[in-house]
Amino acid sequence: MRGFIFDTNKCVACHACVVACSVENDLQAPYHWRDIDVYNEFSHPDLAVFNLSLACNHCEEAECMLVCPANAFYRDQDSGAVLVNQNLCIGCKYCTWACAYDAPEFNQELRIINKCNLCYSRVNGGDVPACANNCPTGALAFGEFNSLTQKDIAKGFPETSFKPAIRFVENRSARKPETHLSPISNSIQHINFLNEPNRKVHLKNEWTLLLFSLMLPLLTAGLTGILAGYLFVNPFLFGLIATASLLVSALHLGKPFRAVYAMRNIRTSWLSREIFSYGLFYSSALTYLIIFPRFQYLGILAIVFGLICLFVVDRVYKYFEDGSGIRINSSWVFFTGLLWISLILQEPLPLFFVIFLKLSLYLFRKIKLWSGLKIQQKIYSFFRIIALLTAPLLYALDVALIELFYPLFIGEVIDRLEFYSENYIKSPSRQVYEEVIADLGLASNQYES
Amino acid sequence: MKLISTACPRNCYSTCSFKVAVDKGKIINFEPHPDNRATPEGICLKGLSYKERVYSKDRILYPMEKNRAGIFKRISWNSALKQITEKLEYYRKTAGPQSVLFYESSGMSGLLNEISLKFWELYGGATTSYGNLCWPAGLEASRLSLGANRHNVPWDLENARLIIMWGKNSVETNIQESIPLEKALEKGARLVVIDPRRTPTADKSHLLIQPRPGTDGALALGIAKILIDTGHIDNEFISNHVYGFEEFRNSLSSWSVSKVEKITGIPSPYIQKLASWIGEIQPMTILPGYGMQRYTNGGQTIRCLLSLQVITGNIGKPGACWHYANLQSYVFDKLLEPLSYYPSLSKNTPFRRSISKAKLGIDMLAQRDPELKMAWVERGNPLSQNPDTNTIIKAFRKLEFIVVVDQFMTDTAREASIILPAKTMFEQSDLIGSYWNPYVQLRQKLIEPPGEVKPETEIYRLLAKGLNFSESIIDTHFPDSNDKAIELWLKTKLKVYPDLNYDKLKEGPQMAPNLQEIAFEDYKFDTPSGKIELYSSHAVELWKVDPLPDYIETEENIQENDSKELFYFLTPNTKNRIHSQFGNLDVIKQFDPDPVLDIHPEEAQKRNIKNGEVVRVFNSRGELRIKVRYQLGLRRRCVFTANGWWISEGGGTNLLSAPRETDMGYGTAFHDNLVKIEKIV
Ligand code: SF4
Ligand code: SF4
Ligand code: SF4
Repeated sequence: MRGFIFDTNKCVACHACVVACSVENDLQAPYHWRDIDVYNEFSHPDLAVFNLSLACNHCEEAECMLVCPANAFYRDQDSGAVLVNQNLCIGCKYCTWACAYDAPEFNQELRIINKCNLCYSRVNGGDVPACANNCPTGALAFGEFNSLTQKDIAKGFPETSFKPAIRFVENRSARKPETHLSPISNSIQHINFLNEPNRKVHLKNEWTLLLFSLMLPLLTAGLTGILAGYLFVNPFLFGLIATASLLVSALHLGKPFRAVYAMRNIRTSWLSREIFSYGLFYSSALTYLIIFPRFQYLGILAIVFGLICLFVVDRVYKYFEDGSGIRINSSWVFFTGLLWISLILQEPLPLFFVIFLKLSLYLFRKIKLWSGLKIQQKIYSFFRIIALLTAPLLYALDVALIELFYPLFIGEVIDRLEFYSENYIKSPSRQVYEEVIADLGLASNQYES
Repeated sequence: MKLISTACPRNCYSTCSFKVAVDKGKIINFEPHPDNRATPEGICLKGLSYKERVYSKDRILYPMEKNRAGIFKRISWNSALKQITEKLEYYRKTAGPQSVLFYESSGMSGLLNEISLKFWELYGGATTSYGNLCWPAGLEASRLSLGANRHNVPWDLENARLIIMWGKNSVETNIQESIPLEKALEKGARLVVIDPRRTPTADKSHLLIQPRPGTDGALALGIAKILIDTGHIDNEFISNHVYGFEEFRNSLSSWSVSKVEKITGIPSPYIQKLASWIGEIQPMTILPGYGMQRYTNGGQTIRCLLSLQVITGNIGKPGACWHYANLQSYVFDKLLEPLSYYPSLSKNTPFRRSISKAKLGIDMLAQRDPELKMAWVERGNPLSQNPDTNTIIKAFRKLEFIVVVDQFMTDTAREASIILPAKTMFEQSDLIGSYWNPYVQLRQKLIEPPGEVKPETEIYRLLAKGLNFSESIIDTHFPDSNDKAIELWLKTKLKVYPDLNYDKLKEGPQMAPNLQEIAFEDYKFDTPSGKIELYSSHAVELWKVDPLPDYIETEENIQENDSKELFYFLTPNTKNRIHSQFGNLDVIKQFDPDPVLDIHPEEAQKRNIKNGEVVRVFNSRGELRIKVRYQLGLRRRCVFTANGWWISEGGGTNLLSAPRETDMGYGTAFHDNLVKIEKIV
């Protein structure tokens, strides 16, 4: 096996590797494929300071390749480099979520993903990559691995199942200098000197996904209502909303006109499956409603596709973490789908079961993260909880079940908004940040902004 | 595609060799040059940013003239040269040649630079500047003690068992020194860093001593006292090679650990620990940085530090050296630094009038008979780099005509009447030395100058013609800028050293002739006594300082009872720039977009200043507005921002610094600089 070999003892965060890469690959600032992460950047006296220089690890089980819906990733057999086919990439940025090493980079001008290519033509010509070639201190090298002296994980390096092709030279112990400055006073503990790294998910970038994930449960439940005869909707209006949802999610792509490529990887990509299952739902639902409204089995089939799609959507978000420790989220669209379906079928038992489930998940998360929340967040949470609680209350007061839709809907919107604004995705800078917090013995939420 | 060897001519320790891939007259890529034993692995990010620097959209490629509205407009070379010659003739006739200031600095090294001075000499003279912004106090201190500025070859550092980076942040300012440093550490050497900041170099260290700025001399004297008292000195070495030891010992009688603790702010156990390491671990190399000697007590401070190297006998051996500056590769200089920085003494030479680099602004304004009318600036950016910017601006604006030769629109270029485009290191060949590695190197021409750029040699040749210098003078002193003529000129220089062959230099670095790999291994010291002088009567004669290393407080200092408002303003260099160069390039800006002020969060909190907030940094000389960054490794009562930011980029640390000379060597004491920090309301 061969790949990058990195020696933390030697790296001085000089950024020469980053620039050497940019020169070799003609990258214009601010784009760069290699990045330096500094552990304890602000020099807390209790901790050492060290650096990691990371780019793509050209993983043996490359997650990016598995999850790319367009199957745009491929491996150069000779060098082992994981590469992106620029003509296939649809710019969905899903690989930037999947890669815990932050290697794929979305280029705003080209509207597609670019990433470290291992300088494969150099490597195939018997040379080493430009970054390793130019590291002034010899910290970054490229070559065959030696399991005796090298380790496959280093402090600050996210652990994954991807089998990254990188090895580390162990850090000498006791790297922290002994010094005499008076210790940091306790009052400083509460100052936000830790800057939270980029979460990778931002509501302002993901609003199209937000809309889609609000619409899909409604559409599935709506179809159920129509089929069961509780709801009367002009089939063309339904078609319009379903089409709009599709178009909105295509807007999320860097290359919307390549949207059909998104179904090139149903075999391993949840995103591909999402689009595929939505396609099945969409076409069966519209065929049923508009062409064969009498053919009820087609309607049932469409609902099944809708449910499958709901399930798949939640899988797409499997990289999201909120720090609460559980990986089931109260805003999962599958639950929301069930909520609306029971509501439209006016079935109190399943309805209150779903409400109870959502409420417990929500409360569990909020209690865990409460102290780190900003005041507005706390107010929103309060409304969300009220929304879930009023439903059984109003029901007890004999309000028609269907009327509960309004408070519940507001609650669902809040929860989903939170989903996109409170979650983050693993990355080296996140890992370094969390390890610093852990090493300082502090609860993470004490430091969050 | 061709790979051509060259070397970096910046004012930087490393002076890396590297190879450049050139294709169809364009720079494509860079490769390390393993033949340079000091820089075998690769160049730094600044070196790699040359590709942008050469082809930058912001580069000045044509002569430019400032119009009445203050806007620069492209003009032809003919018109630029005509205007300049007319002015030169006019000022020479009406006010005399001394009314023209010729100002140069360390922007690009090379032997061809001497042609500039030749031109001004033949013009009839000019007002020049003496001294240096960088390192002369330390050079002079070392010269007075050892007779020369020399140190062991860089790779010898791996032989040291005790390494003291005293005010040097080599990890950022001399990246390639990390190689032997790391080798030494792997072999078990101890590293001590002495710095008010916890620098990236300190992060490699075992012991970090953070003294009050400017008190390093006191720390050294206190340690010398402990070493002598406990017998941890090399008596044999002292009796054979040291002059003035008895006097030195006697002068230390008033020193004690508690006195040192009080002055430096370092708790005594740490002073004791450092002393015992210095006393017990051999061989030791001290690497003093250039920051400490930019204080008013700078030269004497360096002499204090050097005394530790001397009394422990750590000179002239592998792993044992005083690692300040290594001028062994400056084989072509008739007069080595710091002597070349002295102002001319004789009254009748063309350069009889010389003004202080440290006090440029006030000196410019003070000149009479004749007053300064015109300035010519090349290889320098005095508006951002010399102390007391506000006075310099005033002095520049009082001039009638300013020519600036530069690659970019620096703060100084903005003041110009005419800007002439300057070459980059790839556009003309030249020979360079290094003050760290032991090589003579050929900086090779790789590409034709873009646009209408002309090398300075050509500019001067054209001006000489314009001023009607005789044919023979022009042919003797101003080589044609074609490659053949330049090569011939350089080859003539090389004739003195048969071992230095031009064709070999084209392949890579060549060891300087007569190099001592281990400096002073012959124990010959070019001092009046022939020994290492702890006691120096020359120091008294030249600089009116104590003949022995002594400690005096810096001019601006903070004592315990002083206002809690005051901070030491630390303005060292970072890896991202060489003084005011490089910071304007996108490739650097992506890592270092704006100036920041590091402050300890406790100090910030007292003033209710948040992380990232813009604050006012000021003193009687000027003010800056900078974004704060919390730094927990900084000594309290110190703030730090990097030197070299342009004023137009929101920086300009010298807006706050004072025009003062160091105690010796005509250096610049801009680190003697206290400021206040204020929240902007
Ligand atoms: S070039 Fe080497 S030392 Fe510099 S940041 Fe990269 S890996 Fe670290
Ligand atoms: S590091 Fe990331 S982008 Fe590179 S192969 Fe692994 S998963 Fe893919
Ligand atoms: S291998 Fe090549 S493309 Fe990848 S980070 Fe290094 S220089 Fe850049």
